[in-house]
Amino acid sequence: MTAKDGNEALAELVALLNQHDIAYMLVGSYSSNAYGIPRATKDADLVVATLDKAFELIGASLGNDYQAESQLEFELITGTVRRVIRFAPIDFVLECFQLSDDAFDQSRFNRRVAIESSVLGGTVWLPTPEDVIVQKLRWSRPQDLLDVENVMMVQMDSLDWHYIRRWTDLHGTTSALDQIRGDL
Amino acid sequence: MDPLALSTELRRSKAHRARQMTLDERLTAGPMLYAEQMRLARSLVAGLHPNWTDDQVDAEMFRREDLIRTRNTKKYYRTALATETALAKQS
Repeated sequence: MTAKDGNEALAELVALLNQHDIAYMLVGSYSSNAYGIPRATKDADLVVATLDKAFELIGASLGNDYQAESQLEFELITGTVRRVIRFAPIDFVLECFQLSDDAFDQSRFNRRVAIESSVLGGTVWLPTPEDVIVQKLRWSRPQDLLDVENVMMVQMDSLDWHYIRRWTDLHGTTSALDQIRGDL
Repeated sequence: MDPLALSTELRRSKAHRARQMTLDERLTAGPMLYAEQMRLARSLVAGLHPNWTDDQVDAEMFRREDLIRTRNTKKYYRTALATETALAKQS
């Protein structure tokens, strides 16, 4: 099958991970879009429990359109490893992160939820909206803060603020949380 | 309407529309929105530079995408097995 857009490229990857029982969750812009005001994105980010095994499968199963970059990168907040797969026909990027030992990374992974996506072809795992907010506050790039605001605006009444605050207190991001919440 | 009130109203309207979408629709909207934005941006770049060829417009679009990607990754990642020179370039 030749994928035509980023969603189809991602659908092939998550189908492969589901089929082989490799635990993962979709993070980044896909997760903030799911709970917030959707914005444009040209990549998909995944946290994977066993990154090496996933890459073995990708290499063996997904064909030449999926090009795994050989260079490993360290993400500097949790120190985990990132590997990039490029879906060459449309230059759509799939960024895969090894699940780290970081306490919050473990917590949000354990709390992840399964949803059914007709567009992505079946079950997809996502962090909770609270965990999307906590993680994006931790990164705090300009786009992350906009994503936090957008998730809050859509999910406001249903969010577990006690849970969010417990982590932002630990991460030192409560003032940013309060400022965004106060501006809504 | 003053600009701040207009901006607030626009954001509320967007949030309202997002709530009307299913989770699956929101989850998978990103690539389609990206394609729409790129089409619009490309036509604006071409309009600003009527003498440019398609290749020149494409090159400008690639340059801008690269700038955004660099801004989003530069401070947050380090290549494994990087040399001191590469690290110096990233910092």
